[in-house]
Amino acid sequence: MKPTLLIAWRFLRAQTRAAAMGIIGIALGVSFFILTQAQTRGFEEFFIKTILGTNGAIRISDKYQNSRDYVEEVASNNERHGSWRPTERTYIEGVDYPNALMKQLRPVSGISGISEIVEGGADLTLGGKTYHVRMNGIRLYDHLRVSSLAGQIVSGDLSSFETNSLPILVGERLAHRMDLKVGQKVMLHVGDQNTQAQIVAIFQTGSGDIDLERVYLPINQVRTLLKKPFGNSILQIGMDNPADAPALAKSIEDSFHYHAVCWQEREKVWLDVFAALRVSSAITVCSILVIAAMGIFNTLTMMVLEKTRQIAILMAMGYSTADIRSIFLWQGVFLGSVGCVLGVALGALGTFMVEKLPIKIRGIFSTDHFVVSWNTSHYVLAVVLALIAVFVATIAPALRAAKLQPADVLRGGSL
Amino acid sequence: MINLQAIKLSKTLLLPSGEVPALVEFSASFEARKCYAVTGPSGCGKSTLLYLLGLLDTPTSGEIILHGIATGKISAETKTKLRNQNLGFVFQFHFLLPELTVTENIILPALKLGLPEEAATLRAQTLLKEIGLAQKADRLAWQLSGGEQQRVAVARCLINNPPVVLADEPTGNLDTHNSGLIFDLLSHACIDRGSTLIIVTHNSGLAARCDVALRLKDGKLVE
Repeated sequence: MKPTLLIAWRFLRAQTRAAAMGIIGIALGVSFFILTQAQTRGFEEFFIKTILGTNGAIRISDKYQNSRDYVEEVASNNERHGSWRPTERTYIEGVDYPNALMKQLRPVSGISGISEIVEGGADLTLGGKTYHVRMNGIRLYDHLRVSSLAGQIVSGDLSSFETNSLPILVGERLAHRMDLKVGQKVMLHVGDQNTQAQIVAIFQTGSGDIDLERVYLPINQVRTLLKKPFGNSILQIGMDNPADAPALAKSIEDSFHYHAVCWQEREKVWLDVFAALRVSSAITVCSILVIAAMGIFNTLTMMVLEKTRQIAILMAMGYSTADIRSIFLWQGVFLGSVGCVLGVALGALGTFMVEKLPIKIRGIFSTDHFVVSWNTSHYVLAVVLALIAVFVATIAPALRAAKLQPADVLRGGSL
Repeated sequence: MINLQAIKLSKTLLLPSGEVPALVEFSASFEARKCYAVTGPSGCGKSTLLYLLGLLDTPTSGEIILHGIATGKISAETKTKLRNQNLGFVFQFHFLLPELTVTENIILPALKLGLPEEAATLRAQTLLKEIGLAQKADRLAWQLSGGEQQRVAVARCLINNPPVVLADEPTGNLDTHNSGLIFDLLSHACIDRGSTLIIVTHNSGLAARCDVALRLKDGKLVE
């Protein structure tokens, strides 16, 4: 064993209680950090999974209206021609040539699927009860490739959607509110258009609004009801790597001049809330690490003050300032390492136990228990933060010890 | 053979009251297998001289030649190595590390020198026999009596067979019996190993037993 390591170990062993307090502090800081990050990140990931599975990575809707360019064009022409009036611009709702756009987009790498959707409002009626719903006309095969609809079915069977002549999928909250059951027939009213549809399945996305308002029908049925035989579509895009959605959305806007909204932009408010919660909990938990580090700093500083003469004699017998520094840094390494190992173990155990805790959440997603994320980065970050805290707490006493002038100390001077 | 040489060594201390000359142009050569006593009244510069000779302090002017090496312009790192290889220290208080065993305390300089732990322990066992503490090798340092602790400090200072041993009042805290024992240990060990022993003492009896007595007054060598 290196002599500096031996001395460090013995110094530390003589301060069992202080060392134990330091280790416990670090372990608690690390474990709480892991635990809070696992929960906040877990819920965030679950939310993202829910929104990606419901609305896809990107939604392409209206023809892109570049209002800034438009205003600049008007201003510039007014300057040159006096009271120039721009030509009227027609608002184009939805994608006007969906097949052509889909043909262009399909070869783009990273796109895993494209689903054409026609949206429109309707009144759904059953047994005297009426509720306003948002019809989503889809081709089931395409839509399953860009959503988690197959996994969101809580009652009924999706295969009937293809075989039934007038199928409809309703959300769980709507079914609950209107007491709808699979197999029942409901009436849909759009203006003077009426049609009857049979409920083939009930889905639950977890998003309260969608589960209450959205219904799925075959795209052609919706076009007929809305009297929109072509165009007016929304394209929902699925991606192999949803993190790349902002770049692809921008590229689509630049290339095709359609309004393309990625999931990060669409759900920005909620994503910001999750990020704020994650950072806030990390800051709170870091205070435990700071307190633990202050304890270690205090212990080591006291040790330096108590051991000035022993440090001086070590220097006299040939131990360098680096050796003296390392005696104290080794103690930090030991406290930090043991604290981190214990903290990681406690954090993992805590995360495992929290995952089992029941909690009923409905609204932005649906879960009946705590959702956690088993992400290695939380453990790495916790350990790195703890080691930084311990290093900062250790380096000052270590430097102070190494700065000792042996002659001054042995002569009876102080630090 | 000259192990250590001091040439016009001066040290001025900066005190709140102003500059105080602690040592003034001290010159001496210290030969192997000889014992030197440095005596003088309190505050005459004895300890300052010892710290300068031990490369623990830097002289204001003058030069120290240790084992043929001029130490005036060498780096702090080299001085540290020189101390480890060439110098042994014993102080009035033993300054053992109470958390370490007797053997561990003794082998610290040897481990720093790069000696394997087994070889260093073997050397320590031989030294422990010489100082009569072989049976207490595994005790923690604080479990020994004052005299025993000082004997362990002597063993620690000798483990690297330094050519120069510097002792600052090594018997100052001990009774007559232990004082004699420590001095005998130091002087015999130095003669056996061909080292130079420089001992700062107020004890005129001990000084009389040394080969050469150097008397300081107001920082100056007077005889």
